[in-house]
Amino acid sequence: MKRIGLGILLLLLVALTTYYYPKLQRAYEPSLRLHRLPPAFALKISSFGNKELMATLIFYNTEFYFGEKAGFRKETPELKLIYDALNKATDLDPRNMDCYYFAQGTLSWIKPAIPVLNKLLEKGFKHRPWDWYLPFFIGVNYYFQLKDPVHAAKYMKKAARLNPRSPVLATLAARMLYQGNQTQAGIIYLKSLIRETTNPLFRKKFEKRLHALEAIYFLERGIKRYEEKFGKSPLEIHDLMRTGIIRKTPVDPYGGMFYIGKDGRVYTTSKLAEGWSKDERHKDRKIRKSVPKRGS
Amino acid sequence: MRSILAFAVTTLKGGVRDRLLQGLVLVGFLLIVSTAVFSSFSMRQPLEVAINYSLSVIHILSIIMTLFFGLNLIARELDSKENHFILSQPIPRSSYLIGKYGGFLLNIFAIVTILGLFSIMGLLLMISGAKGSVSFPLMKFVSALLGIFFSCSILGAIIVLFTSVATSSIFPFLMSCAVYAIGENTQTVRRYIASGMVGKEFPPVFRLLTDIIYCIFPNFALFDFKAYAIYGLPFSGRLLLVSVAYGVTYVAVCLFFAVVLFEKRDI
Repeated sequence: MKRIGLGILLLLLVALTTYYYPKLQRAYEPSLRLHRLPPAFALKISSFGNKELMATLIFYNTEFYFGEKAGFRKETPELKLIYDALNKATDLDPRNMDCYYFAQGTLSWIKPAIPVLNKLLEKGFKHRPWDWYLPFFIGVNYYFQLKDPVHAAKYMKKAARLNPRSPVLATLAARMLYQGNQTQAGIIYLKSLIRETTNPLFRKKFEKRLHALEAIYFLERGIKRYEEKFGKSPLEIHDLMRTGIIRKTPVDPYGGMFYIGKDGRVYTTSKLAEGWSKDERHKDRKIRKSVPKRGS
Repeated sequence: MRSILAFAVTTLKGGVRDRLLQGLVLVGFLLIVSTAVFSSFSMRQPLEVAINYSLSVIHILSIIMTLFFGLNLIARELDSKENHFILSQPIPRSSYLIGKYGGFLLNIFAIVTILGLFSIMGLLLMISGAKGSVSFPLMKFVSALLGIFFSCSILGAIIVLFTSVATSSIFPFLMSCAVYAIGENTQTVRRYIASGMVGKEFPPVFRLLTDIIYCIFPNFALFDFKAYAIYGLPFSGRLLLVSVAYGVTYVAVCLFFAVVLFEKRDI
């Protein structure tokens, strides 16, 4: 009887500590870091013939880090270290599509990261020449971030050739070739990504960007209507509201404010960006302080 | 020949007596369940990750089993003087050694086959639940299993070679681990040096040493067909044949020297 009592008491103690320790852990645990990995050559040697498994484990570690940092702790992940891990994982297994997909999902929104990201995706395309996603991603990065429609269309055509059934690819390739509306092309691209993704965190990210682009597209159509009505371009977003073309300014989900740039296009102080490095984040904050006015 | 067969069957029965197969069935079930869980975190390639995981787990388990089973084969018997009675009988020592190795091969074959079958079952279950048409590269998967079996066969022959000269079971264990670690990486190191990444200051003596090591130690990378099975890459039957020929000759050389040394040994 005594033993049963002791057993129950021990079980209760375990249950009690299991209930309490996550709270204490959250209060005292240090900032989550993604550690820099040793060179790919050393990783290959230590994998003892299982380099594909090692690459998957590195990818999972990076994925879980991103999930905990961005999704659970609501902190900014260290994107340079994410790139480093994915680059080394793809050195071990250059056909690991998860790595390329994840890299595109996390880094393609940050302009300074595009050259290295495209280099990573090129590595993937070299080893997965059957996969239309890789030239599609490279093309998208060239078009939206590097503003290079010639290279973008070249890759988009490659993607369309690999996946001739997709209407999205053909539409995007055409738009890029003829330098059509960038915002509309972006909306088509994001809608295709949302349709294909299974990861809820990525879906949330894509939807946030889609909302921002839809807001920009809404304002761009407002500007067009203003120009048709008054024969001149509006100086600021407020002009659209004052003339009754739009009722209210849409909200930038990235926390910035929309404004009309010198070229007559709609911009936002947030730059729709999440930081590639600490310096970039500081730069964003400085920009956010003063909303530029067209003509000022 | 009959005595070789008798030793092989006895060794296989030893494996069954050690409840090796029952343990493997349990591991097989765990493999099926864990494959599904492991691959579920993949964003774009769950089947590829599942095949990768299955083959890697089978590879790691088979190598561990080879090391422990290979050591139990002769070294432990020599340690405990269990085989002194058998070796004092008018049976050639070569029959004893080759028979034991044959039994070891049967056990390893059983391990790889059972785990492979469980994996295939798990993967087919995954495919049946997947949306759209997904194809499973069965022949390439079997080729990868064959590659694992040959890696283990070579490692087993190396254990037998070291056991034939060793006076305790620790020496062959440590030496086999070292040979496996080197053999698994010689190709990687050699290619790294050949790529020019090491720079001009890399001593030519080391380059020569790497080449010698590459020729002497077994090249386990030659039996790594996992990437073909994971990504369904085009696979050449000639590559498989060359690998098998290399494996068989390497095992034959190891067993030849093991028999020569074992026959000269005082027990």
